Amino acid sequence: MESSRIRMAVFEALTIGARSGFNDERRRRFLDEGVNLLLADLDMDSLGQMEFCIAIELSTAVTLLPAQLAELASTDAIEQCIREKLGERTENRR
Amino acid sequence: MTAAVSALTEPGAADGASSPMQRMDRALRLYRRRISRCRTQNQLNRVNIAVENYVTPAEVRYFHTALAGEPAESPAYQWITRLARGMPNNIVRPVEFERRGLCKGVTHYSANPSSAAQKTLIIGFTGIAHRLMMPTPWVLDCLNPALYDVVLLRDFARVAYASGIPGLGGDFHTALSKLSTHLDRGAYRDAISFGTSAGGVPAILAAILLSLDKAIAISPQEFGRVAALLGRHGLSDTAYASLLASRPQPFPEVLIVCAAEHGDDMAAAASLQRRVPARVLKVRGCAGHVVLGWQHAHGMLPPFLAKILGQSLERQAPASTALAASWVVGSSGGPSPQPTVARTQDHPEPDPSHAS
Repeated sequence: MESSRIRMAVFEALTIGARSGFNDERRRRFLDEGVNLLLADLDMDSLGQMEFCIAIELSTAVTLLPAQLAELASTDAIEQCIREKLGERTENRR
Repeated sequence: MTAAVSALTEPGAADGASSPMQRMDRALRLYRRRISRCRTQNQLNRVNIAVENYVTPAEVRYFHTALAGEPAESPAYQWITRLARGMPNNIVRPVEFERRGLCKGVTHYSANPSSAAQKTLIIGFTGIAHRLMMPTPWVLDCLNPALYDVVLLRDFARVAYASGIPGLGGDFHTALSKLSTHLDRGAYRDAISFGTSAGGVPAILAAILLSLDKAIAISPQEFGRVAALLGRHGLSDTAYASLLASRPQPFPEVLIVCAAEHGDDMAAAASLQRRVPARVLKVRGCAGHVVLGWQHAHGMLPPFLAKILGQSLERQAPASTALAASWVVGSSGGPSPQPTVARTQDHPEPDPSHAS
């Protein structure tokens, strides 16, 4: 999966999971300027974290768990994690 | 709703051809079947979240009893235990809410449809998570089913209901007009729209459109954000803007509730108040968007709901806000008789369009 598609998957998941914290300004900066957002700034509650992880799994087939989000802490780290897991999967298939 | 549990939540759950116990048993069997297919925690969470969005307090108790024999470490046991323990009152009532799907996007919770004249109808506009900021049974558990009917609307397209409601119509006006044919609003003692987050502005619009008595918007988005959302989906905001600017008489009482320590939500509330005659109730000490969840976590959900609804959740007699709140606090068995729901600031402002 290309990096841009992974970023879009994270974007869509944030629109569902972060709701109020992922406001218009952050959406614009995330998409247009490629900024790295800290999850702590996004006002995600426990339900939001679950919804975020569900959306990521549905769109990328990569399983991230709510408990991992605190450790990952940022959108760049989440994208990197997804890339690595997809890479491992590709390697294992070879 | 997710497709994973559509059979649990589909229209016509209370079909009249079976007893409540049979229907709850059928729901439980479906739930067990669904979770047996889950291979990841996210799949399991997806099923549980969807079920939490639909079930009644009676169903929670039924599931809790049935799943009590599961190992304590099993996800199903842990989930239902958390859900059951979170019920604010956990009262077994003489009559209980039953769930009936009117169509895909509409669930009707009622105990006895023949006594509408005694009841308040609450039309709930759920937010993006398809719930009123918390599991549906927690909200229902606060309400006496003899006095309230609840209709929950869900916006699967997540465009502030502008593309309508599945089964009712493809735009807001059509969907709500069709909803009126399912519900005899005039038969009820009063009718209130109640929207959370992305459902906040639609709740205000619905109260204006359907001539409801009151609209309550909890942490609503500002209208500009709603308009931008519609724009991104190629939808016009003209109908919404016109409706919000209209002043039919009698105009519904509009109450906007937001966290006093949440900057974006405070700004959104102030912005909405400039567009529509409304009172703003700021919840002091609350910094989160999920105001109802905050009240629930502080053990104050029932008195807070009584305060914003402006009436008792348990008694028939019409009462002023202050009386309703103090009665509920006084009868809740809580440690303090202080009406802590009063830790709010009320900000009435005249309609700006009438100010000149």
